[in-house]
Amino acid sequence: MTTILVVDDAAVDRRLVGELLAKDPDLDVEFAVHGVEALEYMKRRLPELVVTDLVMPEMDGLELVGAIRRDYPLAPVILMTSKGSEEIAVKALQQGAASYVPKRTLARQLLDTIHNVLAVSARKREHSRLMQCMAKNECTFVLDNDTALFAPLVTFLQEGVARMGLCDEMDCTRLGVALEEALTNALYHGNLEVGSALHEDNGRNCFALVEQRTREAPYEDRRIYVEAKLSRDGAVFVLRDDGAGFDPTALPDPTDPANLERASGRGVLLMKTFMDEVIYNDLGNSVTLVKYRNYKVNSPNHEDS
Amino acid sequence: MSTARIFSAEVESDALIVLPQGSVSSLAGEGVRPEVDELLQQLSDSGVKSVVIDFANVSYFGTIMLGALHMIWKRVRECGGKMALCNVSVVGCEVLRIAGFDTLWPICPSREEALDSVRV
Repeated sequence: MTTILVVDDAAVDRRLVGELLAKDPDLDVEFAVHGVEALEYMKRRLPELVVTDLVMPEMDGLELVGAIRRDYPLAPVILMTSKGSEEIAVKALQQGAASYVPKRTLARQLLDTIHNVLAVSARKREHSRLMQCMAKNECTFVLDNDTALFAPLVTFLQEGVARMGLCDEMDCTRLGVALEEALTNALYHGNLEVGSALHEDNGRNCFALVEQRTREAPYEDRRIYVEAKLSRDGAVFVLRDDGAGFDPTALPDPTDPANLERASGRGVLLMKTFMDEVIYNDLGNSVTLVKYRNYKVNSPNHEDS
Repeated sequence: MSTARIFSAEVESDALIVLPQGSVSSLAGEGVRPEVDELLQQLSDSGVKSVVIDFANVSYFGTIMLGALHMIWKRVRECGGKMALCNVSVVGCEVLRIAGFDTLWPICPSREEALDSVRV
């Protein structure tokens, strides 16, 4: 049996939905009258799918979607929308609700929508299980000095880490910050050899210098090399540039109030704070970022991305 | 509204509201400066002194964003205005704290509270 949790404060609507879902003998329907009660139910037993009203006392549908997305990311949520709740429905969809059905068309659409969402959800769970079987994943990139590639690369690496369940969503975000700092350092400080003045108010000339060097030898021929090694123990990223390197121990302490207005060292500090290990090679043109697994995936309800 | 790619801005309640958006996390350093210059020009043209940076559309950011904030803040300070941030994500708050920037400006949960905090 597939358990569907229906959340609605209106008894008449709960009854209507219950009758509609009773047409499918494979569905087991449970009810809650608001979001808090729904979450209490989900602590005891996890339904395969949640169908929720949006406007409810205690905890509304938007808050419920957020809580489910955070705590049970593989449990899909379908919204039942009524006139006047369109705005909140859009927010709920942005927060990760799987689909919505207007209340006036429940009889026509709800069962089909539930079947469609359950099918997608089943594929995600299978994919998630498969990814948890992955023992090792390695890849290498060689990038031009093109910042437009940074965001897609970081997203790709974050997704790989998330798929293998190496860290939770928040730590994946922190990992993204660290990787982007390492990439921007490799480009500006490494390959193009422009300093932290780039980020400072007096750095106007640096921008012209960046423009110039991206089209000028030897800078334009330099590349950024990124190796990612993901295993069940954690993730190791090695980022190397073709620049002359630097001495990371010579960086000013960015936490010293006297250095607050200086850009130097902030990126390295962020990397060191957000990663478990940050190691530079002797030349200072290669940095290894390590993130150990901290997120045990024991439940089928932890999603893969 | 400006047509800037990374920042959009509009005047609201005697403050310039700046909305970073898009892929701010990996802002191209060379792309930020012209946009910050445009914002500073907009600040001068608008006649307001204070700035609220609303991070509602940004999940996180790094040092390039910090540098941009610092440039804006210097101008605000010169004008005798105030600056506040709002709707900053958990990781965004961590970045500000790690960099020591959390002491420079109020970090408010909502735009309304940020506007209240910059009212001179």
